[in-house]
Amino acid sequence: MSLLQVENLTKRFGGLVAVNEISFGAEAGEILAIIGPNGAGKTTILNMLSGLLPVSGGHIYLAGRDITRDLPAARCHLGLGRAFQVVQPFPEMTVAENVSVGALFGTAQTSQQQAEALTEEVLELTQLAHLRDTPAESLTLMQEKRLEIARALATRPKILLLDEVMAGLRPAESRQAVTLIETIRRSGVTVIFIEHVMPVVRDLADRVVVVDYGTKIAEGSYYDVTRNPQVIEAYLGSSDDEDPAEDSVEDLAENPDDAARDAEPDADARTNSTDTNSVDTNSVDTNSADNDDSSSREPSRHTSPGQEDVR
Amino acid sequence: MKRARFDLIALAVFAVILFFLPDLLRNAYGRASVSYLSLLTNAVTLAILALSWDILARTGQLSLAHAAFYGAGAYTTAVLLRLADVPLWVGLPAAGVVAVLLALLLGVVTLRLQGIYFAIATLAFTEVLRAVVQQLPTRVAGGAAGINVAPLFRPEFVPGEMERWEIAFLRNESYFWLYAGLLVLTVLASIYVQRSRLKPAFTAIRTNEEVAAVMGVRSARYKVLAFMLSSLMVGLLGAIDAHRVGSVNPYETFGIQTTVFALVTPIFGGLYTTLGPILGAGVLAGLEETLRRTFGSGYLIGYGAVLVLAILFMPRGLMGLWGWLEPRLKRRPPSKEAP
Repeated sequence: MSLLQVENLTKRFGGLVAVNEISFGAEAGEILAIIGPNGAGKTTILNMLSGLLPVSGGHIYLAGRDITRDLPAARCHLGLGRAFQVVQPFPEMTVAENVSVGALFGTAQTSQQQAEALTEEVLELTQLAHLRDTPAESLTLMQEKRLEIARALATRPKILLLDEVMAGLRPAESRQAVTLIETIRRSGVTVIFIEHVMPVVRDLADRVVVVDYGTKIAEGSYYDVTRNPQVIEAYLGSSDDEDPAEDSVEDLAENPDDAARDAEPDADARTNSTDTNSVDTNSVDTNSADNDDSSSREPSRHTSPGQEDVR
Repeated sequence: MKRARFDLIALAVFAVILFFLPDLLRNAYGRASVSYLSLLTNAVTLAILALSWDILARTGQLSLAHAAFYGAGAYTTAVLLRLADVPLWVGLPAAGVVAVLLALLLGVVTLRLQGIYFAIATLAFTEVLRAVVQQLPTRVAGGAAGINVAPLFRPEFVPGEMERWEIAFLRNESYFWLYAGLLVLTVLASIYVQRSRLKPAFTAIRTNEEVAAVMGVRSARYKVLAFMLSSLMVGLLGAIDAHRVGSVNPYETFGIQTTVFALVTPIFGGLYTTLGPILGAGVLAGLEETLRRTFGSGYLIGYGAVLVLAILFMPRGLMGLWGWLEPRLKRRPPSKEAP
């Protein structure tokens, strides 16, 4: 069984089904990305994983143990760390004090000395050591994000849940964050992260789960899911709301390293996607009867050049 | 830990000051007067109320149930002495136990309530407890009229003075020593909270309970613990007060003024600190006495005005005043010589 196994996870808010029977797993040492358009239910999934929201149905297993009904603190002690999307440090505390809360209480038994040592270690790892005694309320956004990750790391997680740590970061900063997450994985921590910035997903994720309207629509490697017609449909849609994908591609262009490395395939992917979009809408209009059939066939034909370029 | 040692030394100094205060004030007020003792007693009981309330407030639980635990302690002693033929001193520990058990109950029930809802629930708890006590059979709790409580210490008469028994009871300094002992105990508890891992836990819960929980802080446990610790002190205070005052009744023993003073004093002195509530209690007790002597019966208006102004213009209380003064004193030392 996987380190973390989620089975038929469901969340209803009244009549609204925010998360509908989602199942996935994360292996030890893996980096798993959860992506999807805004409002797809990604953060709701994370909130259920860390225990802040009660589930409406389904089960969550951590290392084979059912933690579906465990309190957040108990899950933390079992090895589930969490960094929030909206950074929320304890403003009255210094950076070191913030981290030490995780170090002191992250596992059931920790002495003050152990916690201090661990705090130092995490501050070094997250490059916050020089800000040790700075009040948390006077940090920059990047520093706050680092602190958010540092606090989660200080709880010694087996699995780290990261909710959009890249949001609001400049490209250079977001590269730093990517490096940090890679370092974390090398230390043996499984990472599950939500992300909108697609190059980050491509660089980091071993596997990607795509969520739309609360259901899992695709799962697999970055290249597989980004060529999945349903995913393209979800991101670009038949409506005129196309910002997530556009954003991600623009971010890529601002990112010289990445641009140099694979400008070609991604540029192609963009044109392909938009092509697909127009073709797709057309096909829906013309032969809505065998809609499923056409949408699975048509885009794959259009995206194939991109795939060839990659290889 | 170094800081804890500093705190304990400060506490020792404080205890020594407490020890000499009655003598100092007695000389100032004159032998026959009991004013000096009532002033000191006011200050010390206010400090116990304030500091115990502050310990609970450090977890973000702004309780309006302080009067409930005060009353529970007082009534425990009173009822126990009335119904069972127990030694006089058994009432005190029993009062502590009952207050802690009630705190456990209320703490668990209100765990999920935040802010104003928590405040309302605790206020309601006080009123319910008062009503229940009043409705108990008269044989048990004396109904609306209350019960008389035997004093712990003998009255002290001054030769040549004609005076009432209550005043003679008040004059016995032993009560003051009992209160002082309880205050030292409360300060010890507060120092323990501030210098152990309870401080990061309490602060984390107060500032963001969800985040604290995700970081492994068992918030329920710490919140209930704070409730029990806080109530233990107030319960004991209520019991001692019952003996000193000589009676309990539902209206005064469960009166809202206990709660009001318990929360106003730390706000005035400086929340979430050990020194703030004590400082606040000392200053407020002194201020009240001074105003009463100066203005007579209307003094409460002035007292209220001072409180309102303090809360409006000193957001962090007396402790914040020091934070405001310190850099200014350091920056311009020569300004003293300037005309």
